[in-house]
Amino acid sequence: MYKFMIVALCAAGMAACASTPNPIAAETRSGTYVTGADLVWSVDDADEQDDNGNYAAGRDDLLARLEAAVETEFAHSPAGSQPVSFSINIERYNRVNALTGNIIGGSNMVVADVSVIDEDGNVLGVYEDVTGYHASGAGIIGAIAQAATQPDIVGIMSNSFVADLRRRFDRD
Amino acid sequence: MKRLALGLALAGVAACAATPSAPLNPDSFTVSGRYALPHANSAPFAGRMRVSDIELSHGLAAFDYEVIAFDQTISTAIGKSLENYGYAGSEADEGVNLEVRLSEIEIHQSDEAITAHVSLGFRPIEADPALQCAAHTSNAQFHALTPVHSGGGQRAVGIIAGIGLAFVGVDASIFMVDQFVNASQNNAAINADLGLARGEGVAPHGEQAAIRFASTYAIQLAIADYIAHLGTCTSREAEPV
Repeated sequence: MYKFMIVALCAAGMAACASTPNPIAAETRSGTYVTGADLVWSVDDADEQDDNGNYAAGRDDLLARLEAAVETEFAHSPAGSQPVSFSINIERYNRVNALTGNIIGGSNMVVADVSVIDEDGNVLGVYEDVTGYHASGAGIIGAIAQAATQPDIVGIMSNSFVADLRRRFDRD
Repeated sequence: MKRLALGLALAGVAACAATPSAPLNPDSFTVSGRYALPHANSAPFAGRMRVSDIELSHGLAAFDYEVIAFDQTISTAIGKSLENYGYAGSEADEGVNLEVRLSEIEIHQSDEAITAHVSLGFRPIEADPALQCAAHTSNAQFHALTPVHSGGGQRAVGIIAGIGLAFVGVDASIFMVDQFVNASQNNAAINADLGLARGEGVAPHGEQAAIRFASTYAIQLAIADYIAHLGTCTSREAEPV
């Protein structure tokens, strides 16, 4: 039941995003190009640090690859003349293993607010609750399949995040 | 090394445009501020250039390609590129109407890479000697490296593009960028660790996609070359006769 609630929440979140106006005017966006992304870890995760460093390693892996994925996605579009950067404030982060995710419920997920900042430090706009996730919830077969194929969950989360940010950024 | 005809290159570009799920984005061809080329400022052609006549698609009709859409896409990209560096003009009398012709796209193919060579001709429509410097043929090339394949039966599709700008006289180190290209999320992640060399990019999976990829960036680099050329024009050359 829990996993269905997660999926429903994701869907609701996406639907909410779809109706949210773009915080930055189209003309402003098209006049920019993205120079890079800075990530800030604001997750309240004090209770997650006692697993022999696995949590910290996973977090660091995500941060590195999320930054690379965002910078890569926005390397060529928009293609204007004014440099801007992204400040990505990560507020939620959740990881589950294959068994838990597929049978019990829960998703691998990262949620962040992304601020677009010009070269003078002015915030042009903020895309709130940008979400990246790796969906599971396929039951025992899904758990077996996931264990066998060992998908690159961090990579999938990162690229899912980037896809959501791109959709939000390009929306009229 | 196998040399393919112009048609093959254009077929690759055409395949991109003909796919409804992957429309051509003018940004892919646009020279953004990232290139850090000299701004027009008070240069002779500052605020004067506009694309008035463009024909890039000789033979594209044979591939069932939307010629007009492609021309419009590249025209938009050139216009935006000129705007980014202060060369785009209004409808004022002193405006320079540009005729743009794609003279050639050649594809060289080997086991390691597909290389696109592009020749893009720019010429003022007005027959005015003072505009002579605005006439220029830009030659560019881009190497699209064969991508690494992932294991586990998953498709390896392309990924990263790095663009070197040495041939347009720009320090390439300021522009080395990566780009995921049409990759599934998992494969994009796998390929994200590949190293790059200047003037090269890792191509998407598939010959047609790689040709399109290399051709796209070669055209972008040709536009960059033209903007760099405009920066070399002196006021003397642009004075009315």
